[in-house]
Amino acid sequence: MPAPLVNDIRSDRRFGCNFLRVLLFIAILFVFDLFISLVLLKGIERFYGLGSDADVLMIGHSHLMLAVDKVALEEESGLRVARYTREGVNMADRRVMAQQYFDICSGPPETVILSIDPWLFSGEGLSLNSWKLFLPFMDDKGVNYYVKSSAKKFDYYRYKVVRSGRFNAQLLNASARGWLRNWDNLKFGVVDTVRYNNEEALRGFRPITFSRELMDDFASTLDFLNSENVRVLLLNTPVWEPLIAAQRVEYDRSMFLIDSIAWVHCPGAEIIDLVQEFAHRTELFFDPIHMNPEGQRVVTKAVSEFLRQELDQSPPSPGSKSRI
Amino acid sequence: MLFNSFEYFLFLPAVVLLYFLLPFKWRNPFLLTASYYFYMSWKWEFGFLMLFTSAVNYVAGLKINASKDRRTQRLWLTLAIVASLSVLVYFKYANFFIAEASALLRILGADVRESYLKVILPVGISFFTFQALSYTIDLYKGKMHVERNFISFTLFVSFFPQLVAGPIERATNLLDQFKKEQHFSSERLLDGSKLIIWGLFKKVVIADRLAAYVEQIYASPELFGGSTLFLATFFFAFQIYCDFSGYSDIAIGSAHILGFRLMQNFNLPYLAKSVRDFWHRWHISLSTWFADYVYKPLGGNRVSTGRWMFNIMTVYLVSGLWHGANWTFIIWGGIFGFLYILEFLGDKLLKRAGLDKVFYKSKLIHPFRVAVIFLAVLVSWVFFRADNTGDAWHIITHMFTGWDRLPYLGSSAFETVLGLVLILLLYAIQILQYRGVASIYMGPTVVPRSLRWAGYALLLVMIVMFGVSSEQFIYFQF
Repeated sequence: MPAPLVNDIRSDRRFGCNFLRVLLFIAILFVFDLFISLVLLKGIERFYGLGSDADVLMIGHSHLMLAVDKVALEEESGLRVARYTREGVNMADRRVMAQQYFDICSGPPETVILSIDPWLFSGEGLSLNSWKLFLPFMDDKGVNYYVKSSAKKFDYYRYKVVRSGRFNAQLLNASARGWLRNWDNLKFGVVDTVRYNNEEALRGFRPITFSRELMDDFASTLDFLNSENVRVLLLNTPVWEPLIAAQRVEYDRSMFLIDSIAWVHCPGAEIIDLVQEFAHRTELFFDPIHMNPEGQRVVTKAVSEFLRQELDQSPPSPGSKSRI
Repeated sequence: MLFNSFEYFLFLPAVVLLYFLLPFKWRNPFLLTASYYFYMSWKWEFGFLMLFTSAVNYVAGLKINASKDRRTQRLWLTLAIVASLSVLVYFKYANFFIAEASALLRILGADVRESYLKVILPVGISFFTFQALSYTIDLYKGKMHVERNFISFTLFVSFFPQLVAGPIERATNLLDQFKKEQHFSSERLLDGSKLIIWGLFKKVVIADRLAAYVEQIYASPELFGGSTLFLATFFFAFQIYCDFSGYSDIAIGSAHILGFRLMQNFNLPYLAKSVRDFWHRWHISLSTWFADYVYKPLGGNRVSTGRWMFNIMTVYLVSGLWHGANWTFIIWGGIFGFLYILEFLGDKLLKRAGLDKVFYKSKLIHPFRVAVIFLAVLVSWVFFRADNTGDAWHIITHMFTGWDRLPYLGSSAFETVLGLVLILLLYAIQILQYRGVASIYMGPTVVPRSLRWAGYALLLVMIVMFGVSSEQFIYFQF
C-alpha cells in the first residue's frame, strides 16, 4: 500500500506544474545569484584597485582608508594608486591581502605603503573567520585554496554554490563606490571631545597590547615584500594625541618594536610617521583613530610630497626613518 | 531551535515529509514529539513545565465537562487558572515583585535585604499558558467542546510553529484541525514557503540590521542628541515590527505547509488610523485574547463611561505587564490605555461638533491621522525598549529637541542608510498591500506571477547577502 504522501501527490492536479515552477524558480535564482555576484565583484575590484597594475599599492585597514585620498594622491604624485584597505583587518589579514594582490597583478607595484599603527600587535593573529574577508575572490585559485583550507567543508561548498553569500553590506558599499569611482572619506564631523574627556575612557577605547603571533605576521609580511623587491613604506597614520598620551609607554614600545622588526626583516623599509605633526590637531579627526575629510586632505598632501621627494632620490638606506 | 537557524530549515522539511508519509493515526503523536523536541532543544527541563500546564488544563476541562454544577465547574476553572498562572508568575514575575515589595518596605522604614530567586524564564511561557487557558475558559463558557484525547490537547498547547511566540491560538480554531486528516498540497507548500521567505527577510535583513544601531544608542542614550535618539526609536519601531511579524509569518507559513491554518497576527499596523485601529492590526492574537478573556468579563463597554475607562486601563496595564516584569512595560501599556481613552473623548467632541464624518472620511486627513498615530506609537516604543524608566524619560524629553546636528549614523553609516532604505522598501510594499495590489497572508494579488517570483528570488538573495544572524526573536522573552 503506498504511503499517504504518494496518494496525495497523485491526487494533486497542480503538482507537476508547481514542480516545474520550482525548478524554474531555482534556475532564476542561480542566474540572479551569478549576475549579482559578478556585478558586485567588478565594483569591489575597482574600489580596491585589484588587478589595476598600480605604481603604488596601499595595504591597510580603516585608518589608512580614511587617512589617504587615493584620487588626490594620484593627482598630486602622478602615480597610479591601488588602495586595498579593509575595515578591521589585522596584521595577519594584511599579509594575506598583500600576497593576494601580488598573485593577481600582471605587473607588480614599485612601492607598497603598508599601514602601521600602535595597535599593530594588539589582539590575536589570523582569526578563525579571517578567511571570510576573501570570500568574494574565491574564483581566484590562490584565494580559493586559502578559503578551502580555512573554512569548514560545509561553509566552503555553501559559498562555492551560493555566490551572493560571499558578499555583505560592507562589500556592497565598496562595490557601489567602485562602480561610482568614489573613494571619498564620508566620515564628516569632529571627534567628540566630551565623550573622551578622561584618560580611562581613552584607555578603554582601544588598549594597546602585544601579541607574539602578530609580530611574527608583521615580520613575515616584510619578508614577503622584501622578496618582491619593492620599495616599502610603513605609514603610521595620525591618531588623536590624547589617545596616545593615555597609553604613552605602550605606544613607544609598539613603535620601537615596529622599527626593530622592520630593520631586521626589510632593511629598505622606511617609516613615515605622521603622528607628531598631526596628532594634536583635533579638528582633523572624526573619532580618536579615524581622520575626517579635512584630516584626509592634509595627510594625503604630506604623503604625496614624501612620495615625490622619494622618487627624485636614490634608494633609501636600510632602516632609515622619516619623520615629516 | 530558532526559526532563523540552519537547524530549523532541516527540521521543518523533515517534519513535513515524515508527517505526510505517516498514516493519519500516527500523525498527531509524531507532531507532538516533534513539537516537544523543538521546545526541549532549548532547555529540556522546561518541557515538563509545558506538560504540567497542559495536564492541568486537560484535567480541568474533563472535570468541567463532567460536572453539571456551575459552582464545581467554576472551582475547576479557578484551579486551572491559578495553577497555570502560578507557574507563569513564579518564573516571570517573582523577582519583580520581590524587588518592588522590598523597595516598598524600605520606604516604610523596614531593614530588608533583597533575596532573588535563581530562575530562568522559560521561552514562550506566556504564550502557551494563555493558549492553554483559552481552552479551559471557552469550555467553561460553553463555547468549546471537551477534548478527551490527551495527545491532541497537548499538541494544541505545544504545536511547534506557534509555540514560543504565537500567534496565541484558540482551541476553537486549532484543536479541531488536528482531528482532520490533512493532505499534502503543492500549492500550500509554495504559499507557505513564500510566507516563510518574507518573514525571514523581515527578521534577518531588516530587524536584525536595525537592532545593531538601536542597541548602541539605547545602551547609553545620554551620550546622543535628539535626532539620534529619534532615529534609534524610529528604527526600533521597525525592528520590533519586522522581528515579531517576521516570526509570525514563519509560524503561519510553516503551519500552512502542514495543512493548519493559524490566525493572522499582524495587518499593516503602521498604517493604522487610530489607536483602536492599531490594536486591531498589531499582535491581533493577544489583543483579541485580552478582549475576550479580560475586557469582556470586566463588563466591556456595556457599563458606565467611568467603569469603561477603568476596564480599558486595566486591560492595557495587564497587557503591558504580560510583556515583561518591568515598570517600562507597565507604563507602555498605560500609555496605550490613556491614548485609547483620549481618542474616545476626541471622537465624542467631533461628533458633538458635527465634524466626525468630515474627519473620518476625508482623504486629505487620512495620511495625517496615520502619521499622528505612528508618532504616538513611536513614543510608546521608547518605554518598551528602554532598559529603565530613567532612560526612557531621558529619551522622551530629548528626542524632539537638539535637531541642529545630523544624527549619529553608527559605526557604519552605510549599514544605517541601508536600514533606512529597507524601511522605505517595506513601507512601499505595505502600501501596495494596503491598496490590495500585493497580497497579505496568501490573499489575492494583481501582481503578475513572474514578477512575484522574481521578487521572491531577490528576497532570497538579499537574505543570503544581508542576513544578520541574531541570537533570538524579541518576543521569545515574553
